[in-house]
Parts: sequence; C-alpha cells; structure tokens
Amino acid sequence: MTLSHQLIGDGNRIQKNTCEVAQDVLRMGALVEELFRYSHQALFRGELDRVSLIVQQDKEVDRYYRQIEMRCATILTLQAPVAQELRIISAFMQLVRDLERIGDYAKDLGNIAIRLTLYPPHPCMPKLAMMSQKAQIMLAKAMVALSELDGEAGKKIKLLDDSVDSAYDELYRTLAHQRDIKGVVEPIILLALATRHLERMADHATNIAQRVSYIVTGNRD
Amino acid sequence: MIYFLLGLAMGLIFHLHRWRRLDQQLDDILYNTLGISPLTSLSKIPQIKRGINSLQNELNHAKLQILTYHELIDNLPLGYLRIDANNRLIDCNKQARILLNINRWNPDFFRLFLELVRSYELDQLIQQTRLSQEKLTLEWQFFPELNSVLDGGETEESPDVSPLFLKAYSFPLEGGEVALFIENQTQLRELLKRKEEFYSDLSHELRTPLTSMLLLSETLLSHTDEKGKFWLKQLNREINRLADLVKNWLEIYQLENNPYEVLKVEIVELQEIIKSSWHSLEILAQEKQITLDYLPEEDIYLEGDSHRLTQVFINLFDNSIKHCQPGGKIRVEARVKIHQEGNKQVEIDIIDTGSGFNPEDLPHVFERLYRGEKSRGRKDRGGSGLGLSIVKQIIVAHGGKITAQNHPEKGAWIQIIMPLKQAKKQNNSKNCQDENDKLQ
Repeated sequence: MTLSHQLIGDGNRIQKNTCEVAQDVLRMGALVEELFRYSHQALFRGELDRVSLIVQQDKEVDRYYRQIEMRCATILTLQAPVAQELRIISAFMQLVRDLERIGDYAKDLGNIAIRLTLYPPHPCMPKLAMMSQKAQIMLAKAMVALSELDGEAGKKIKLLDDSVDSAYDELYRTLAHQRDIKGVVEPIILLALATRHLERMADHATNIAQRVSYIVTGNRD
Repeated sequence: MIYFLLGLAMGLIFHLHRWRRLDQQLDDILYNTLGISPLTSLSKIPQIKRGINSLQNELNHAKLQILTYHELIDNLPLGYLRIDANNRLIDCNKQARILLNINRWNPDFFRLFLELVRSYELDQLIQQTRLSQEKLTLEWQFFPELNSVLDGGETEESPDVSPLFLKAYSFPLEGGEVALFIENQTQLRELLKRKEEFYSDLSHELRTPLTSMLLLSETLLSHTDEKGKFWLKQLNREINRLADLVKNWLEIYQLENNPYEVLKVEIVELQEIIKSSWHSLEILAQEKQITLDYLPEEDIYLEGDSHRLTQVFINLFDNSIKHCQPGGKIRVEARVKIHQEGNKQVEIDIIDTGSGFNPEDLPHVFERLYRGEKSRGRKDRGGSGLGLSIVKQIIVAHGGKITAQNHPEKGAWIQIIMPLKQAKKQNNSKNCQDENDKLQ
C-alpha cells in the first residue's frame, strides 16, 4: 500500500482534494529535509551562506504549514471524510506541525552556526555531526514511511531515536562537566543548545513516523 | 411485359447507382486514406488489400522503431524522467533510477514524483517549467542515500552521506507534461576543484622563492655599476610583477573557497569607497586628463569589506583609464532598488568613454589570465590578467553579481549588483563585529 494507491483510488472528490494536499505535504517535507541539510552544512562545514537561504526558505515552510492546515480543515468540514481518509487528513494536520517545528529548529541551528564561527571548533563537534546525520536519516525515513504508508516504520524509527537520545545524554555530560574553561562560556552554551535542538528534531521525526502508523493501523501508540 | 422491362430498368438503374457509389467510396479509400492513386487496369479490391498490407508493414516498422527508441532512452548515459500534469512520474530510465536512487519504481503503477524523489529543488523546477513553458536548467546537490532509506541505518554506524552534484535540464511537453534530463557533474566538480588546488599549491610554492629573489635583486642594486643598475631595475620590475600575479592568484583562490574567513565585514559607505578609490588613481588619471563623473544622491550603506571593495573600484577605474582616450570620462551611477519581496539591492554602473570590449571577448573577460585582443591587452602599463577576475570574486564573495557589456552609446559598461541587508541585520553584524573586536 502506498500513498498514491490510497489517494488515487476511484478518484472521487475527497480523494482528489486529499491528493493535492498530500503533494503539498510531501513538498513541505522535502523542503524541511533540505533546511535540515543546509543547517548541517552551515554548522559542520562552515558554509555560512546557507544560513540566509534557510531563513528565506523557512518562510516558505510556514506558508505551506498554514496553507495545508487550512485546506485540511476545509476538507474536514465540507466533505466529511470517513475511515482512512479521515485518519490521513487528521494525521496531515498534526504532521505538518512537526515539520514546521523541525524547520524552525533548522533555522536556530543556522544562527548558532554563525555565532559559533567566532570560536575555535570544539572537540565534540564530530559527535554532534554524527547526531545531526542520524536525525536527518530519521526524518528521511519518516518521509519514506509516509509515501509508502509503512505502518511498521514508527517502531523502527523509535529505535533510531533511542540512539539519538543516548548521544544527547553523552554530549550533555561532556559539555556540562567541563572544567577549567578558558574565556567565555558562549560556545558551550551554543553547543548545548544545538544538541538539544537536534534531539528535538529527532523527536519530531519520530512523531511523524508514528502518525504514519496511525494512518495505517488506526492505533495511536 | 412492359412492366417487367420497366422494373428491370429501374432495378438496373438502382444497381448502377449503388455500384457507382461503391466505386467512389473505394476510390476515396484508396486516394485519401491509403494515399495511392487508383490504377484503372487493376480491380480496386486487390489494390486496397495491397494498400492495407503496406500500411500494416509500416505500422510494424514504426512499432519496432519505438521499441528501439525506448531501448536507447533506457540505456542513455543521461538520466531521463517524464512527469505528467498531475505530478506523477510516468517514465524514467535506468540512469535516472541510479542517480536519484529510485528503487520503488513500478512502470505499471504511477506514483507521485515527490513520493519517489524527495527533492524540493527538482520539484520547483518541474512546476516552473510547466508554468512558464520554457526550457530551464538547475544545478543542485542531491543526497541519493537519503532519498530512499527503507531498512538498515538502525545500527550505531551512520552511513556515509555524500552529495552528488547534478544538473537537470527540463523540457515542457504537451498537456502539462514535463520531461527532465539529469546529468551527473560530480566528477567535473572534482576535477575543477583539483585544478584549482593545483594552481593554488603552485602559487604557494612560488611565493617564497620570489620574495627572496626580490630581496636579493634589491641588495644587488647597491653593488653594481650604472649599467648593471639599469638591467637590475628591469629585473626587479619583472619579479615584482610575477610576485603580484602569484599574490593575486592566491587571493582569488581564498575568496572563492573561504569568503567568510577572508572578508572582514563591516558597515561601509559606498560614496566614500568610490571617492577614495578614485583618489588613489588620480595621478594616472590626470596624466591622461580623464575625469570622474559621479554625483551621489544619497548615502548608501553596505555590509562589506572596505579594503576589498576599494580594490574593486581601483581595478575597474584602472582598466577604464587604460582604455580611455585622453580627455575621456568615467561615469559612475549608483542607486538603490527595492524588489517586491522587500529585498533591497544596490545597482552600480560604471561606464567609460573608451573603445569598449571586443564583442568576442565579452563572455571571457572575467576569466583568469584571459587577455583579449591586443587593443584591450597591455600596451603601455602591465596588467596581470587577473584584475577583473579578482573584482568578480570579491563581488561574488559579497553575494553580488557583476556583468560586463558594451554601452549602447560608447565604451565599456560594468554593472555591479549587490544585496543590501535590512537595518536590523546590520545592527546584528555590528554587534558581532564588536564582540569580535573585544575578544581579540
């Protein structure tokens, strides 16, 4: 079962409208993934020109968010979908919120990247890069799960989320227990914020995958 | 009897009429449908049979041809995709599946393009092509590993995610369909990068011996007689030029690769920069009685590196002075433009009364070491051939654009477009700068 199978079906009006919304959701997902990648490049490869792009694209993400929410509400009230279609629409409405949050965090990461350039690179950067990579893979998996309508993905991504969480704990410990800091503490605060953001992004990716499971099975777990 | 004959005649007439009509219809089929002019010697039915046979042959041939084309497209070294009006992927070849990592392609069931290829940029290209009905191109980075992660990756090892540099050519088709061709430019990028690195390494290696040579020749100057001094001075000049070349080359490389480390960004005022640049060239200009025509209307504040922006104008003015006839004029115009989205840009035009660029050279003037025709080359004073490419790199590093044209009236016309940031941002960067200063 894939999203297209579900949406094209016998081609009635609800399905046609849902299909259009689904396209926008996928588009927004692709854009958010891109923002995440840009923030990664800004943070770990010093490509700071990405940051202005992120800020610009984030506005686009917000626009998609509002538009999708509006259209979902219109479909819900005017066409009264039932069963799986209802689940798709309600999952979309929540899922775009998660995507929008990830976009916001990507923007914050970009700003952190700019401020971090003033300081020498911290030894825990490679770990942070690994964490960011993992969170990106989680988001990619969640998006694949959405287009495949893979009900099992939620559990798989939860496993990945556990590894991101443990990376977060580890990084937090290294950062918090540092002694004899020379100069200002700003870089450490920034890094702690960045790890926190990445952890939140991974959480939102997990949420997306779980909403996909909800579309397929109808259970919230 | 009479009635019988009458009936027979009626029947005959009727039959003849039918027969004529049939004949006309057969003629029509032969002539208009099959495209054969009917022969009188042969009966028409066999002729039609023959026509149908030849049509069938043609059809088979065409089918075979289509099969061959499909085969060819499938084996094309370029990626090929076709998207229908509902944004569904309806065709793609092997290379496209490899490049974009589409492993869920099923030719019997079409799916939304975005389900199979999650690339915002490529989707935007498709939408724009459909809207504008024009051929467009796009160069972008694509992460094939991320495009379809189904299983794996749950382990501790995260896969190596490296981008491909792809270029897409879009092509609008009938009925809202869009075709895409995708080319892999990763190797090309790699080669270009290696070439750049080679030159920069070479320049680096050359710099130290050149500096010592310069020092040595200067020391030697005080130990030689008058005749030797003449030659030594010439030597000195040439070494200087070479050293300049190497220095400029390294500078371009730096600007291209780490603009953020090289540029010292602050708030600068355009008018001051233009005036101070002109000031440092005034002696040269006075020799040729060339004047600057610049009437600033308002103060324009930019975010930029004042030293490097001054260099931009020095290089441009120097070029113009070189190519202007004595008594010429250099006109500079700067104005702020506000776009619909609220983005502000400053547009700077620099127009001289010289001979202008050679039209054949125009596409190349910003290339490194490019020297055009003799007329625009170096006759009296030396030029490294890097002046304009430094200008371009500085402008690009500032996020701007530069174009060279010939002015419709006379002379060369250089246009620079630079982004103007909002006031709020200026404050931010000022704060950053302040903090930076404090730290140092």
